[in-house]
Amino acid sequence: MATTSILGKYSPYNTILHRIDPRLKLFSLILLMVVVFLPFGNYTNRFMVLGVLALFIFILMLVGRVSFASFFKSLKAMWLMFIFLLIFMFFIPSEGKYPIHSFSNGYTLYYDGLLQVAHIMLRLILMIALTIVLTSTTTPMEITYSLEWFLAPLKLVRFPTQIVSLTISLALRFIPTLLNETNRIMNAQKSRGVDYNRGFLTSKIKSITTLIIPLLVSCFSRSDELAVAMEARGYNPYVKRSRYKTLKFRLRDLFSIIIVIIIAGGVIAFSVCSSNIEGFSDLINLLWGIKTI
Amino acid sequence: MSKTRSLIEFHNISFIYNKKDPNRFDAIKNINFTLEKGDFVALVGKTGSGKSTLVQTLNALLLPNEGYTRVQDFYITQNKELKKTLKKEHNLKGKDFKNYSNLRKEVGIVFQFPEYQLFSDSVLKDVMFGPKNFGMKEEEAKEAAINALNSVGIDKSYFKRSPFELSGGEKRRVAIAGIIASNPSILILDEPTVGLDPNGKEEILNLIKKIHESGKTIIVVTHDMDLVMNYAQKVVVLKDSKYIGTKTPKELFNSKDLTDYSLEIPTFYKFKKLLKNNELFKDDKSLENIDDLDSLTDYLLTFKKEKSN
Amino acid sequence: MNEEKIIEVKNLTFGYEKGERILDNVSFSISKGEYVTLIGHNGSGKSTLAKLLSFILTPDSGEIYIENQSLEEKSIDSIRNKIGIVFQNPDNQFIGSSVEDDIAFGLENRNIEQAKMKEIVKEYAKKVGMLEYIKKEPEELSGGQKQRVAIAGILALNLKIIIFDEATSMLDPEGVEEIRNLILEMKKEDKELTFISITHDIEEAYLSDRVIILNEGKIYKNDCPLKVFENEEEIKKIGLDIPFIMKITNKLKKDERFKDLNYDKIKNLKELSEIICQKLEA
Repeated sequence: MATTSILGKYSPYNTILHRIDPRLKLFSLILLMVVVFLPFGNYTNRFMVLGVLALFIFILMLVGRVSFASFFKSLKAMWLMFIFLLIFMFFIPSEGKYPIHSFSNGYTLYYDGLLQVAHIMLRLILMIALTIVLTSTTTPMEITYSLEWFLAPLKLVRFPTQIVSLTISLALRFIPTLLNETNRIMNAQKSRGVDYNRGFLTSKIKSITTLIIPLLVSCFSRSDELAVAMEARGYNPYVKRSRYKTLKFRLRDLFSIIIVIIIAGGVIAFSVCSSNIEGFSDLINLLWGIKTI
Repeated sequence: MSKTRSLIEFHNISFIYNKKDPNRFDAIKNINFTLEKGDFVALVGKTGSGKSTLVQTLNALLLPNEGYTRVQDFYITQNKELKKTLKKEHNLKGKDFKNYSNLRKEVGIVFQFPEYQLFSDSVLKDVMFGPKNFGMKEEEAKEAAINALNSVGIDKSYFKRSPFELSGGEKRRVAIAGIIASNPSILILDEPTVGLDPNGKEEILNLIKKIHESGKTIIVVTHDMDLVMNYAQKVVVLKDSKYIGTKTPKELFNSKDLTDYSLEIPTFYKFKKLLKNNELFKDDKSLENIDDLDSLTDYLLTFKKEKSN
Repeated sequence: MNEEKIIEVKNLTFGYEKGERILDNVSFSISKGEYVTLIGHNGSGKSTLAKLLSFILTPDSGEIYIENQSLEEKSIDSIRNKIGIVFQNPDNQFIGSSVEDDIAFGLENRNIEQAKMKEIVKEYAKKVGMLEYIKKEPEELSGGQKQRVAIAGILALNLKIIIFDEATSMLDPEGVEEIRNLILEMKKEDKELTFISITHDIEEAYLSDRVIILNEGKIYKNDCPLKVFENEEEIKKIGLDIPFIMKITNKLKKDERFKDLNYDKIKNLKELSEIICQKLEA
């Protein structure tokens, strides 16, 4: 009942984002992720570009009726990483333009470190947002079908794409079942006095084994039964199978790919030219009150 | 604490899954009732009526959003206001609400398919696991485990074997031993007979009966009405997340609203009801008090004689 | 009922380990359109028999014929097109990610073209009463519903024999009722369809055409339910029980007035209660 995964869950609406060809969505996701991670010269430009992308992704979330609650839930899982990054970037000695404070032993803190953390975090947040847009508007099955489609060229080198995609879809199908199972086993062990939250490393390891071993045993027996059921229904991995669902590329898909390409293309072009607008960025830096003259 | 208090009290409890989600689900709503020491209670109701949620509050695996569940002197709730009042009334401290280990030692739960909680490399070690967690020393735990295994009918020759080599029914008995070894005073079993054949069922049911006779309080969550009829002393009925009432099995099966509770009726009572629908037995009071097959056939035979006289 | 034999089992012997005899020289046959229940304790060899019939296991010795075709490696594909199995655990046989995908799985394996597949999936989802749930994922369904989907997946393949391997033992009473009714309905609809149900449910056995009791790997009884359960003592000796209707009639029959109370004609409890009242009033 309480099964929500970190990277979002499909929400069964019928928005335009839900109807777009999943192959296109998967492709756009990858393209936009690449764009998010492109370097753009100085920080001002970087933040400007990321701002544009954030706005675009925000619109996508609105259009696709993505649950902001589940988005923030996923972000919550990242706060530890944020702190780690902050400490790491802030205190590791580095060279920067804008010092905050110099200690007597010659160690200096820079605003640059702070900016870098913010930059990395923003990139990660955008990546998560993108992933959630995909997972909440696309069923796991559609994602599997598109993966299989992208893998299709590999058939030429005798890569078993059909088997791989069935395996992925079975794995996706059993995730909720196994989450329930995990919950049940944890409850059973808690009743035997296991405390999964407290204890030091050694007792933690011990309590994890009380979960993992029963879970593995049940997985094996499930997969045994599953294999028998599949065989009984005539599954043969080496024979051609027809497909119940196939993907169709429609006109609206063409429009959406054009939009994605324009945005991605614009950002890339900006990234290439951005080295020439140092002056502009210095101006912004002044406004931020960072630069000490 | 007054001596007249019940062993277990459900005080106006509600539990909600995904409280803030669109998937919000009110699993139990405002439930009030008490259970006494030494009871053998069956908790019945349709799938999704809240049975499993209710029993999980008993050892604090779930904490009620509203109201409290009380086991002996232990109060279980997540409602902050209520905690404050309880602290005042009963002179409790914050940590008194958190000592789950003590609570779980008193309340053992055998979950559905308990065979999936086994993990050790030997039967004996697995059964010793619970008692050791609850603070018993190695030797004590070993003794407790051996006693528990004896009482579930697992032979000494099995002790060193891996639990994964056993048959389904044997695994289930070992898992039950793993719970009773810590000597809980209250034992809860969630669908203990599901997936077993008639022999296996009877073995487990007789085992539960024996445990009850040794002085423990038993709560069984079940769909199995034969179990209810033949073993339970009290039946608690839940419907649509609400408490309907506590009855004896006979009262329940003779009650007119039985079909409203969406419960499976044992064949015997189905038949009795059909007879009562008939003109001949319409106002027959004595038929109502008959609760087993032999008395019913005897009654039918004598009934005929009375008529012919 | 058709007298044509659809399954013939001759001297079947099987053991998982050497020297073990889970099934010991078992022979029987089943006619087309029959509804046979197979009962016996765990370890009596029931489920092993189902696995042998569908070629998931291979016998140590003996032969199995399906429509006069010997069951062996070569004939496996054509046998798979004749026999389907509904297993015990509803979760572990739900292969597709939604109801429609699961019903389609067997059709995909048989390389049926897509347009035709869509029609078939709809038709059979409707037949088992799951049409409105066709897009649902397994975790949104009850156990009984999952089993109905499994049945639709088999019916969709147009098979001749369906084996239920304790298909109701993990369901709640509502689910059991759902599946029991579905079987009776299917039987009415298609007289050619053969059902073999492996079960602990003696009341279900009473409703079937024939009951085979297995005990310690051997056939203990093989006849129509009335004959099989006729001798209460013999049945109780191996730890089984007899159906409720027969229990009552056996007890009443000892009396003069109920002497001609005959259960061959009594199909359900309602009829039984009516007949008893009639006799009492007479």
